[in-house]
Amino acid sequence: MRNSLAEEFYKFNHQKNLLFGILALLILMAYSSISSNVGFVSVSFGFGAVQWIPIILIAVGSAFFAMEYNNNTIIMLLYKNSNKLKIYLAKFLVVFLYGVLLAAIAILFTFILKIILVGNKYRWLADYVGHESLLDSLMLHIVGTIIYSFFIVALSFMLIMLVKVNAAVIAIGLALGFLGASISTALMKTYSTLLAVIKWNPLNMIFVTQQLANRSYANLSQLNGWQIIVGTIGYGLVFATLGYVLFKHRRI
Amino acid sequence: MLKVTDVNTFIGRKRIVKNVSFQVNSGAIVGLIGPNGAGKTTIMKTILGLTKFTGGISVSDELVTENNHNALSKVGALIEYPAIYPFLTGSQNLELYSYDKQDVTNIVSMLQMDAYINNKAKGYSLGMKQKLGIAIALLNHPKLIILDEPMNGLDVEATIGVRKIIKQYAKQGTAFLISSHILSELQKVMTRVVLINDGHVIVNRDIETFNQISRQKYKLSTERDKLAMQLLESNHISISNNTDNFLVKKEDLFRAQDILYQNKIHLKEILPAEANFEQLIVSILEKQRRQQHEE
Repeated sequence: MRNSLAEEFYKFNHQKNLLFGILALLILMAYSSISSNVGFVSVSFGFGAVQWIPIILIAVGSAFFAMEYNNNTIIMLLYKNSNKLKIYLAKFLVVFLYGVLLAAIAILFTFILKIILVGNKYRWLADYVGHESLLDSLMLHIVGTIIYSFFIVALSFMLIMLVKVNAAVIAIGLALGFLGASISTALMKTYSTLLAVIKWNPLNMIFVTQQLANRSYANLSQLNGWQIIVGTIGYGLVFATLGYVLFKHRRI
Repeated sequence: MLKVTDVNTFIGRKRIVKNVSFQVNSGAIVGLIGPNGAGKTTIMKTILGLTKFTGGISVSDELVTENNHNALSKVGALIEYPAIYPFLTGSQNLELYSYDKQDVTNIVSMLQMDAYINNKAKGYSLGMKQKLGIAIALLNHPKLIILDEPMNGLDVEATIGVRKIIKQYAKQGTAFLISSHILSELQKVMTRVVLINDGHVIVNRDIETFNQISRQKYKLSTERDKLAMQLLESNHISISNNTDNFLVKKEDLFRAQDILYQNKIHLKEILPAEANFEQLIVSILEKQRRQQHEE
């Protein structure tokens, strides 16, 4: 496993996608900071990082797996290893840790943008009515995003094994990022009698990125904090397992 | 070194490789030949544990299964097209799999890749990529090297260079299993031929025995060809006419010489009439197809 991890880190570190992902995050956060009023909410959301990180991850994750098939390197990878699970887990861990890195960069850049744009107008540790402190709120958003990253990496790996076309996986990622929450809410409103079941739909799990910091989102997700965490991780595990089964049986 | 015993490979429900058995000994260079779609690449992938199969595959007496590739730790391979990460340099691509830096340096130098080995592989030409693919297969002193169409995209100089390297490694005991559609190229290096068609092995012979097939006729040239041919025909020896000589079957050669001697016709030349290797393969395949059709 250590060798597989070292190989995957080596490849990932030499890819431009690593830098492109970081650059995209910084540009999108900067764009969010100037395209709307800077307030408690936008700062605690990491200037949209909560939304951008999953989208970047789905693109980077699927590309990281797809390249092995596109470059025929999957043959080397598979014949030099007996255990396909190690290959899958190593790739999974590398992309997930990249998500954690993006989250850390998002926190730092949020600090920088806040100082540049509003200085000390919102104090990091001060209590605000109806909210935790700004720092706590930002951190809880980021923790939610990291939990959702697990879900999204598993989804991107499963999708790339299923549809095999990177662009299609990215399109699905964008649809999830922008429409997932609205579709889920609409579904729950339309089929309110089935709410007890529908609230567990995978699209609803995107609320984990916001609900940990702002409990009022529970009214939208219809799940409490622990339920949405368990649901997100549970779906992540199901997607990861399905993705692995597809990977194991994919013909080369 | 490599033992393939009664191997069947399935893709979906279709059997692609059918009861294939052959062996590659240390130092041998086995040419895997066959028409497109015969199953050459599938056999190679099966040996590398990449497909579901029945039967037995072992490398150095250690079994290879779909889930146990330990025996493949000393196997190098180039399958279909070079497995290269375009965002890495040639050097980094090699280092990713190598245990020995000196080995990398030697291989790079042997394949004359020094000039571009530190450039990103995405800028490589087809031939450069092919050389890098071969270099990856040669890494870590493998006991068995599997090369699928290794001469693809190589220029004449590189082809000669790769041929030399194959011979050099084989001399040191490395076994090779090579497929190539450039039969004349393969003919120059291989020590054994495995011809497959429609997933079946139809010929499995060492190259010397195989070449015997191509020497089934002899060219004879005498001081009086016309008379010689008349004499032989009247003695029920079948001959075929050439411009400067005539052909006699191998089994009639000694009798033909005796007849000519008795009639005081002197021989100027006796030479084995070698059939072109490619023609020979084609005629074997055609013969097999005819047999299948008749069945």
